Amino acid sequence: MSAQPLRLDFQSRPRYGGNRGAIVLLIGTAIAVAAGIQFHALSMKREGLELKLEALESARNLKLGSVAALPSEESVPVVNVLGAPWEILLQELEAASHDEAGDVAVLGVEPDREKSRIRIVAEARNLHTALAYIERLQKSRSLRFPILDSHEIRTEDRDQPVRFQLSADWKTTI
Amino acid sequence: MSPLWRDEIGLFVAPTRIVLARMKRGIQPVNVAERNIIVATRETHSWEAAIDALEVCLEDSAWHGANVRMIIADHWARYSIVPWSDALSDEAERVQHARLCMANTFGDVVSQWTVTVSDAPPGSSQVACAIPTALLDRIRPVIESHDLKIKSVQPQLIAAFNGWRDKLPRGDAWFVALDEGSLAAAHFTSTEWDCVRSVRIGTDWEIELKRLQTFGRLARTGNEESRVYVDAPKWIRDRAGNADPGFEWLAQTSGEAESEDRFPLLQRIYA
Repeated sequence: MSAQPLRLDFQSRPRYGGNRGAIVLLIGTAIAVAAGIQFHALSMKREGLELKLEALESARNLKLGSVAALPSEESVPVVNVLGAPWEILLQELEAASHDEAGDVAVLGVEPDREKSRIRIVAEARNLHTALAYIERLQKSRSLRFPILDSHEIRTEDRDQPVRFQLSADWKTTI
Repeated sequence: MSPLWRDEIGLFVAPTRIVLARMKRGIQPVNVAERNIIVATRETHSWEAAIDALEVCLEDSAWHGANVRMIIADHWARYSIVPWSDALSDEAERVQHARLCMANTFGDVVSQWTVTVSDAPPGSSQVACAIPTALLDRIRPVIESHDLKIKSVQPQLIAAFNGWRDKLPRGDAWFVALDEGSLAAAHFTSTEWDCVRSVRIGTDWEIELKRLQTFGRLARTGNEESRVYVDAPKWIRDRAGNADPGFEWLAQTSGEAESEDRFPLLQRIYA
């Protein structure tokens, strides 16, 4: 612990800080310049990043915009069709046909997603087989209340098969 | 040589002694030349003989081209404590106030003195010091005519105090600068100097040492904790011995060279 210095001098003291003051001033100026350069560099980097971010957001908005630009009345069925559980339905139709010894051939499947209905056109060896096929579909996980809408015997065909049409509720969420 | 790294000369001017020490500047100042001149005079009130001796010494080119830090012996200096005044607004007014305070103590002779005051924070007392204007007017041209630039002019008590301050307590102690023909003493606290005295003394050292011891006893009567730290040339310290345990005789540490004269005082201002 030392005593406080006493500053008393008959020589008028310079108002600047002398050598030490000059050194401190130089160091301070150097630090300020370095800080300014670093600030400028960081500002440029930030501007660059902001431009990149802006470009990415523009690109993202463009993609979303292309989807959003579709008219809703057109896009909804497309989205519904794409989102339907087709794989399960087709597997079950194939399994039912297989259970009937292959005597049923599915000719067409027409979904109505708005009403959650599906219409199936098939051909069976005879009416009994067609009714058995419909009964088999009643055990399906994806179809509810399958009913025979119409049928006709194809007399022009040599085997005289039965072409029939059935409809059912389609459980799109299983 | 760059003005920032100009050599510096420490110069001590006393009635009977001139001491010079040249310090080569750098990270660590190095003492490159010393000179100790005894001035043969009986007129200790006059400075003519001392300045004449200095003028002759400065003819030597070894002492040219440097900055000068000058220490004026307490023999020619007078001190006073100036109380703080809120009514004063600038340095000139504070110096004028100090001049009035000193005139109350020393009389009209103050008009022939140059007065300056110490730096002090607001509210603290200032130390005022006066040196004969004729002495300063006489010595400045002598120095500056030899490519020497005066950077500092301090009285001995102040220079010695600052030189020894690393060995002084933070406050509540006396510091005494003792030299041939003069004794100056100051009591300092942790924030300011609150008392300062200077007297001219004789050459009978038995009497003067007793006077110093009396002063020390008086100082301790006021406050048992106040110790007295004394800066003095080695020959005075040797005479005093360690008879009075109340004194702390300030001396170079064992690793530093000890000299018979005032070179240590000059060297300490660069420490």
